[in-house]
Amino acid sequence: MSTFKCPKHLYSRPCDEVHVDGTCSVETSVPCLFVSPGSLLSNFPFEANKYRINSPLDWSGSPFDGRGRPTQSNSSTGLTLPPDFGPERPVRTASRLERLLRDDKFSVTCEVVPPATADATTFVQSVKTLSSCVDAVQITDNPSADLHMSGLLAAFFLEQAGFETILHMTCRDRNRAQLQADVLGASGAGINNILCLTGAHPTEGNQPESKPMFDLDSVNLINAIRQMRDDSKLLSGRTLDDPPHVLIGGLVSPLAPPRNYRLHDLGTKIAAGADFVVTHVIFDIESLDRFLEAMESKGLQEKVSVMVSVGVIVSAKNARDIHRRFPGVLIPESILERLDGIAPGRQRQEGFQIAVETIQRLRENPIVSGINIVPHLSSTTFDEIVELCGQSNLLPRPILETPEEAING
Amino acid sequence: MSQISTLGKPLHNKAPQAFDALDNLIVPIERMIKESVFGCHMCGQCVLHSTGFTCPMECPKGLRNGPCGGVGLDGSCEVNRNKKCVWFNAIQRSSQTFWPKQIYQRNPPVDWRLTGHSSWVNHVTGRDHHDRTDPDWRSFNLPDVLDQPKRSDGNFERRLRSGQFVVTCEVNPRTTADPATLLDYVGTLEGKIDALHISDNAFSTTRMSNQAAAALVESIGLETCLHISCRDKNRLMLQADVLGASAAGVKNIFCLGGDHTTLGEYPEAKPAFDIDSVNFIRMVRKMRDKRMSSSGSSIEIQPRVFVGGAAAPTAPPLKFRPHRLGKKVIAGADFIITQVIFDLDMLRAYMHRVRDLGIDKKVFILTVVAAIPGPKAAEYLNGHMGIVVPQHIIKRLSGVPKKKRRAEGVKICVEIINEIQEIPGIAGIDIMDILTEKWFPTLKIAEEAGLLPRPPLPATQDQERFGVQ
Repeated sequence: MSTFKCPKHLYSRPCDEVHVDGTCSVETSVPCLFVSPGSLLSNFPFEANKYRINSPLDWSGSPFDGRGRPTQSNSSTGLTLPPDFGPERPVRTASRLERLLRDDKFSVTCEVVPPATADATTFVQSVKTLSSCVDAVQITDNPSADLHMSGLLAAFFLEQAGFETILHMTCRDRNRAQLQADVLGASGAGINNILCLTGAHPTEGNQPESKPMFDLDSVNLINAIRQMRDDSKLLSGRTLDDPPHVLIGGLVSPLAPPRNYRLHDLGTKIAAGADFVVTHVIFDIESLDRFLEAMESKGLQEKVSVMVSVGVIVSAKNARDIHRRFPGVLIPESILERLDGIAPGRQRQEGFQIAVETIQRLRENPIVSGINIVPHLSSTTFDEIVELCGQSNLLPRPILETPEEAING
Repeated sequence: MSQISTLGKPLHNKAPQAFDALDNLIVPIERMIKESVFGCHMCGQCVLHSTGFTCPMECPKGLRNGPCGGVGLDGSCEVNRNKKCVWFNAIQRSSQTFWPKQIYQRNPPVDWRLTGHSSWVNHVTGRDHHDRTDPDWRSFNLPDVLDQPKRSDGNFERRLRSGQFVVTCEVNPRTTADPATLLDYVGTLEGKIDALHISDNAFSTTRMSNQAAAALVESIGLETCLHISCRDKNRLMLQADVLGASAAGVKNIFCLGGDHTTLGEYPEAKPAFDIDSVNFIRMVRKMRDKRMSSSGSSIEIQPRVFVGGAAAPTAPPLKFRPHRLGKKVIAGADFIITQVIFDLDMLRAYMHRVRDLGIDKKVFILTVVAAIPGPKAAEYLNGHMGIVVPQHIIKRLSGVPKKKRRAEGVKICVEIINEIQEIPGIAGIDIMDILTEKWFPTLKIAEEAGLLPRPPLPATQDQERFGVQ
């Protein structure tokens, strides 16, 4: 039973949401089971450059056991890294994002949270503010386990309004049957990019009574979508008439412990099928640079596009709040000191200055192929995002040839 | 019972740690006693007194408000045909307890934070939400459905309210990422079918998400009724889907429990069954009428949807079925769709009991009909998912040559529809496809049953108000 102590039923790898101080994001007083020495991770020792995927838990054995005890099948499959971005890798989608990443252009995306109501017109209208300054919008899937409109349909509305969308898909709320159905649906609705993440635990949000699903973990989800796209096969082995054409993304948490594992985790996600990865919000550029250097030393930078999430801190109080509320986010002392040394009235401006500097430094790094601006970190408005993009010299966004032109050369 | 928690609550607010310590102390004792006596599963929110001391968590779906529609004709569980449905015991034993009426009350869904903790401590501290249990459904005085305010003002609701015999049909999204085939098929139904039911991974096989399918169908201007089952999603996602669907223009939502994951394409997947269909109906109702999510957070713009629930007139225990329907109606169902009907005598008997209990006035009841392609399919369906196919139909199908069997299936279906129209209390039909990817006889059935062309649409609220035609 000890292996199922993790609230997200993970047994072979930690989730993407571990806090930077090593505590579990579900119960913040408890250390993550994979971080401490002699932890669960030692049951699945990882070797450098050898990536394996552990099959998800099997729940079929105990339908009459209301306690829900799954069995852990110890089968794991070896994975090989895909070829580098280039002619060996076929064009997957008609996605603007894919073309940007292939052309090595710096891409800008912004995360938007669907509304918690049954009407999307105001939402779509407000997101239209961003149309001139981003290449794609990322649609969150009930972030922090708070109830919002279904991300799939919110993305569908934005697609119809002419946006390129990246749909976030968490493993928190759906089992593998529904996750795959939603991938088919998303592709059918014209969504070209899917980002897979584990997701916050229901107890962290405003529907704490919900059953935590976590049937697949994020690596298994990435693998399932890759299998659907490349082999036209569902997890059950059934073939698909028409596979989904999607670009697959993974979440990477470079600053969260166990730090020596995170690089391996990135490699596993790439081998499982991730075409791009998005990091948690980064303020500590030095640590990120170290992570990216280690990534380069393993030769992973050619296999995947890295998009770094950037947030705006609006006050010193907000900085400390972010520190507590958002897993995987580390705000270095230097930034805290810099904000504390300024009058409260001007801290917001300073926060934007910090974000502009962060973006500048990220653009200088050749491994970073784009940014993801996260406004809901500190309730920044979309108008301010447009201004931020302008200040960071990201505008105007490049105009690309249409997908037909791209495919026909 | 409730006095205990009124005493315990203030104490718990003062010293929650003391109760946590008490919980740790009591859990092993409680587990030892209740596990050996009742087969307790330590859900932490005991309802044994309302189920005749039969633990409902023994049910693979953890149903707390009555049996699902998948009970076999011999009373066996759909997951394992060698086991008897726990609800037979529950219903029988509850009549012998001091609280015989409690089986007719609605139990709230399980709070998954409390599982593994002591239900005694949870009860004393009031953490287990016993105050959210509804009383006996028969004690409610619900106004007739025609006197209730208009809910969605969709075509489906307007036709039902005006007394037309409504014709709907089921559309199954395919296992593909390309919706073109689906949209082509749906296009042929335009103007001939009043609402399209978009099924949710029918027969537990993965298909294109019906959310996306419904949004696409709505965007070409057809009215849909979205099926949402509790099998694959927890309540967070269920609510997110209701909000999204409503924003996409879906005006009817049909809440169902769904068959168990072990019967489907992914037996090893984790079954959700976070809440049961009765509580799901109530949750959607609460979102619409009170603008509140299940745990109380507010919703600014409510989903204006017509809420439906399922009924299984032919599945045992036949005596309890009308009561389960009653629970769903009190929970907030505006319309009810039955399991597919072939045995008209059973339906008549069921409707008779429903009318006696006065439920037919409180809700619109639609029955599902289907054309059987041949005797093999008929044999398979008989006893599956609570469906009964009478022997005379099987004989009749095997009596005709192979090439004419499908035509005979359509003929039988038309005869059933004609008979159903005579039964008082039934407001419409839903034509289902048995072979979900090969044979689509819906239009043929509707035509031969004389249901086409459809009568003109009743006026919308706005048209009535302003007199616009």
